[in-house]
Amino acid sequence: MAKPLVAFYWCASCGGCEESVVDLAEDLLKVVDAVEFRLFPVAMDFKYSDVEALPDKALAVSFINGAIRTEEQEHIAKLLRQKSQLIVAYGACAHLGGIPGLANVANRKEVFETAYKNTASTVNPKGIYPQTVTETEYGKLTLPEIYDTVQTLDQTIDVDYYLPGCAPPPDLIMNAINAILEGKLPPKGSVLTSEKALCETCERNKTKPDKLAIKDIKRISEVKADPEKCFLAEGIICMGPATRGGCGERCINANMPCRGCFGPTKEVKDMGARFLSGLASIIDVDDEAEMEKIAQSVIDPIGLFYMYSLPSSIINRKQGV
Amino acid sequence: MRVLTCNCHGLIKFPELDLGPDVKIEQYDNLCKLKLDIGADETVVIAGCSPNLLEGIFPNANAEFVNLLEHITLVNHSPEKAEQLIVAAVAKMQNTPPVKTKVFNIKSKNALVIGGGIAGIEVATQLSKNGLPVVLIEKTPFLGGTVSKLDRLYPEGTPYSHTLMPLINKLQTSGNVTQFFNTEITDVTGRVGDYKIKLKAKPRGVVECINCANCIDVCPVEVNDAGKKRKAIYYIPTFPDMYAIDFDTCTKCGECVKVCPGKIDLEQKAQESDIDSGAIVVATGLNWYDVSKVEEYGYARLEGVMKTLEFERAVASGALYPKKVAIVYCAGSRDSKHLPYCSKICCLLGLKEAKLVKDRFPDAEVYVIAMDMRSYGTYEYLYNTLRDKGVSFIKGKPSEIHRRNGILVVKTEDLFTNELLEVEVDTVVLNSGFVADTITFDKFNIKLNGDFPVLFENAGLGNYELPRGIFTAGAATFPGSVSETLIDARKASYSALSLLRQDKIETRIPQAVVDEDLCSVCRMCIGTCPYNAISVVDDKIKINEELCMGCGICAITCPSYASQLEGWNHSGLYEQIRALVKEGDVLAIMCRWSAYNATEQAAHDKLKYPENVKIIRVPCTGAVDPSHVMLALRNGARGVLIGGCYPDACHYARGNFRAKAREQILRLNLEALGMRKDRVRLEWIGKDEAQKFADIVYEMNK
Ligand code: SF4
Ligand code: SF4
Ligand code: SF4
Ligand code: SF4
Ligand code: SF4
Repeated sequence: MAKPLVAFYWCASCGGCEESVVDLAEDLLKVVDAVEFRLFPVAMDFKYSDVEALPDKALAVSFINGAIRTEEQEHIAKLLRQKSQLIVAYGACAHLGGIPGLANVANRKEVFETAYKNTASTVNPKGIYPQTVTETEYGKLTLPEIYDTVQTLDQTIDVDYYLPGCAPPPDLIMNAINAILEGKLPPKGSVLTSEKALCETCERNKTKPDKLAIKDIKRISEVKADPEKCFLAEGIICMGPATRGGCGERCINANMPCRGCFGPTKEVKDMGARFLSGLASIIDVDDEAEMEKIAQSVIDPIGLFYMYSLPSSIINRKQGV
Repeated sequence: MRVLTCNCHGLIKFPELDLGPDVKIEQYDNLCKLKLDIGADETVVIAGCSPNLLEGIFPNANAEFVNLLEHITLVNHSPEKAEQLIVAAVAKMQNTPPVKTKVFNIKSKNALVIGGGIAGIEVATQLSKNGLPVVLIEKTPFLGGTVSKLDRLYPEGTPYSHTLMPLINKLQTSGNVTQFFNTEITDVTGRVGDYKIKLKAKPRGVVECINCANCIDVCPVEVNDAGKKRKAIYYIPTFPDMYAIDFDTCTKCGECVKVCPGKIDLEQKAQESDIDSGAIVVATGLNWYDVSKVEEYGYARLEGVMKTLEFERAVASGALYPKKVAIVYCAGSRDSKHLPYCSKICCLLGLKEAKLVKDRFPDAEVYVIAMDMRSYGTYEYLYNTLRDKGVSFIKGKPSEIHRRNGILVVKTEDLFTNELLEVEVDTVVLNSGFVADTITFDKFNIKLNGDFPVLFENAGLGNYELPRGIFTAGAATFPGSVSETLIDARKASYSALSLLRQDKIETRIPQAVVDEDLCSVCRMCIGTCPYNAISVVDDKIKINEELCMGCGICAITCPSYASQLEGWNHSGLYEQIRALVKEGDVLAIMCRWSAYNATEQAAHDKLKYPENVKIIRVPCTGAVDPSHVMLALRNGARGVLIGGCYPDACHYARGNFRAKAREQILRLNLEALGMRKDRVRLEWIGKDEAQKFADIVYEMNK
C-alpha cells in the first residue's frame, strides 16, 4: 500500500514546533517509515509548485503550525486546505494565535517601527521599512504583505483537528499520528488532548484548600514560589483552571505557573475572559475600595490572560489601532 | 418552539414576526387570565407584560420573558425593537435546555429534636401532639437546659419552675416521644425527608433510683457547678426523676454503690443507636461567652469577680451576701476583639440580677455600669422599677478592675457627668453575652452569621422552596427571653410539621448543574457559593440541591463552564446577546430583584430613555459573564450597563461583590484592549430608581 502523503508547514511561529518533531526521538523514525512527506520547509527541499502540482485532497494530512499574519502564509494555508484531506492546527500559534498573536495589541505600522527602527540594536536613520514591492536596478522585488491583525489558522481555513501546546508534547503528537494512521479520530474540531482543565491532573491540586480565597494577586516574578503548593491558592496567577490539561504539567514541574498554552476547554470561547472571571471571584474582600486596589495590581492583563490566545478571543485585537 | 404573545387587551402593538419554520407564534389578548398549559420539557418565549407578573402565572415554564409593555409600548419604542427582543429571546431559548424537576421524598416521618431545654421541649410537645413520632435528645442527664440552672426569670423574677415544670409535664403526656439523655450525635447522613443519624449515649451510672438521696451523703467529691455546690452524683428536679453521676468528676470510689437501695453501675458502657428522621430541629440553646478572655476585668484572677450565672446561683442559694455590687454590662460584647454582636438579652439579665440583690438585701448598693440600656419594648418597666429601688446607673465602659486593700475597684468613666470614677464594691458581676453551640451547626452545615444562624439576608433563611428539613428553635436561632424562645420553638414546630405532612416535595427552581466531563475539580467555585452548597464528594464537585438558591455565581466563576445555572446557561445567553446587540446599542443586563424593576418603573414614571437601550434580565449581577459583556462590545455596543442591588443588599448575599470584582478586572482588560473603561459600568440601582437608570443610559449614550 502507498504511504500516506503528509505536509508539515510553518507560518508565524518560532520554530519550536519543528523542534517538537525532533523531540519525538526514535518515534520520529517510525513516523518517517509510515508516511511520505511532500512539504517540510525546515527539513526537506520541496517547492510550493510540488504541492500545487498534486491533485486535490492528495495529501492525507497537513500539519500547520504558526499563526497567520502574512499573505504568503494565508496563501499556502489555503493551498494546503485544497490539497489535504485533513488539516491539523499544530501548536498554540495555529490553534489560538500564540505568542505572535500578541502583536494584535499593535498594528503593522507600530510593529515595523519597533522591529525596524526603535529597538536598541537597529540602525535605520532613513526609516526604511519592508515594502510589498521594491523597484531596484535589478528589477522588481516583492515581499508578501504583512497584515495588521494576526489570525488563528481556523480564522483563515477550515481546520479539522488541533494539537495544542507551545509546543505540543511528544506523547500527544504520537497519539494524533497514530489516530490518523489508524483512522480512529474523534469528532471533527476536537482538540487532541484532555477535555478537562489542567488542575485535574496537577499534583498541586491536592494542596489546594476547598475554599480558595485570595487577598492579593501576585506575579511569579515577585515571589519565591513554594514548589509543592498550588500557585493559585498562594495568590500567584496560574491559568491551570482555565487551560486544557495534557501537557504533563511541564511548567508547573519547573515551578512556573501555567500560562495557558493549551487553550481553553471546549465550551469556552474566550479563555482570558473566563479566567479573569474566575480569578476575580476568588478575591476575598467585600470592600469596594480595597477591591479596586487589588484589581489594579493585575499588571499587563493581556499578557496575563491572553498570553497565547488573543487572536482567538472575542475581542481579538486592540481597538483603535 | 412556541412564542406566546399577549397584546394585553390591545395595548401592545405587535410587529410582524417571522421567526422561521421551527417557531410557532401564538397570539393572545389576555394571557394572564388563561390557564395555558406549558409542558415541563418545553421551552418557550412569552412576550407581553412584566416577567414579575407572568412568572407568577407560569411558575414552572422554561420561559424567557420579553416585556413588551414596559420596555416598548409605554416608553414609545418601535416595533422593530420589539422584534429584536423577541428574536433574541428565541435564540436564547433554542440554546437553553429545560430546568430539571427536583423531587425529595419524605421517607421518614420522624422528627429529631436536639436539645432538652425549653425550646426543644416545646417543639417535641407540639410535634408529638400533632401525631408525629419524635426523638428528643439531650446532652446532659436532665431536661431543662439553661433555664433549669437559673434561679428566676425576668422581668418578674418568678422561679423557673413556674414555667419549666408545666412544659416538662406536658411533654411527658403528649404522645409518642422517645427521650435520650447524656446523648450526642456522632454522624449525620442523608437529606431532607431521609436523614440517618447515629447517636451515642454516655453512661448515667445510676441505673435504678428511688430518689432517697443516700448517695449524696457519702459521695466525697464536691463540685462547684456554676456557683452552686453539688456532689459528683447529683439530681436536678426536672426530668427524669433519678440521680446521675458526673463522670468528669467522679473518682469511682464506690461509696454510693454501698448505700444505694437501687442500682449504680460505675462501669456502665456508652450506648449507640441509629435513628432515621425526615426533619431535624436544632434547639441546642446558648452558652455564656468565656469572660476570662476579657483580661482587664480579672475573672478567675480576682476573687469576687463573678459571671452572671454564678452570681445568681450563689445569691439565690444563700452562699453569697453581697453588700456592694457592680454589674458590668457588655463584658466582651459589641467588641471587635470578643463578640462583635449584641446578644440582646443580657441587658435584661443584668437588671434581673440587680433586682435579685434588691429583693434579698434591700440595703445593698447596686451599680449598673453600662454604655447603653437596651431594655427594649415593655421591659423598660423593669429598668424604671430598679431606678425607683435605688440602683445606680452609670453610663460607661469600665477600663479595668483591680483589688485594692481587699476591696474591688471598678475604674470607669461616667459619660453623664464626664468624670472618671472608681467604684468600690465587694462583688463584681460580669454581664457577658452568648455564643451558640456551633458544633451542632457544623454537623448540619447550618450557615452562621457570626455565632448564630440568624442571617440578615433579605431573601429569607436559605432556600424557602427547598427546605433542607433542618430548623433552629429558641436560643439556637438567637438568644431570647423565655417567651421569645417558646414562640420561636412554635415557629420551628410549624415548619417541621408542614414539611413532614407531605409525602414528597417537588420543585423546578433553577439550580447550578455540574458537567462531570468538563469539571477539573479546580475548586474555584466552592468558596464563591453564598450558601455553602458546593462541596467535593468522592473527588467530584457536588451541588447540594437542598442548598442551591440558583444565583449563578458559581457558574460564572467556573473557568471551564462546567458548572451552569439552569435556564441561564452560557450558550443561551451568548446567542441572545449576539442576536440582540447592534452597532451603537447600550446593553443593560439587569438583576431581576432590583435594577430590572427600575427599568419597569421607568415606564410607569413616564420617563424617556433612548431606543437603543436593550434590556435583559438575569438572576443576579453575580451571574453576569464578562465574556458576554465582551461579546456585546464586539457586536458594536456603545456600552454595557450591569445593574444590581446596593452593597450588602444582594438577594444572594454576595453576588454583587463578585460582580464588582469581575467588573474591576474586566475594565482593566478592556483598557488594555484600547477601549474606554467606562463603556462597562456596574451600577447599584434600587428597584424604584427609574430616574437613575434613565440618567445612566443617557450618559452611556453620549
Ligand atoms: S491552579 Fe495551577 S498550580 Fe493550582 S492546581 Fe491548578 S494547575 Fe496546579
Ligand atoms: S503548564 Fe500551561 S503553559 Fe505550561 S505547557 Fe502546560 S498548558 Fe502550556
Ligand atoms: S442512693 Fe441510689 S437510689 Fe438513692 S438517690 Fe442515690 S442513686 Fe438514687
Ligand atoms: S453559587 Fe449559587 S448557583 Fe452555585 S451552587 Fe451556590 S447557590 Fe447554587
Ligand atoms: S469551577 Fe468549574 S471546573 Fe472548577 S471545580 Fe467548580 S465546576 Fe469544576
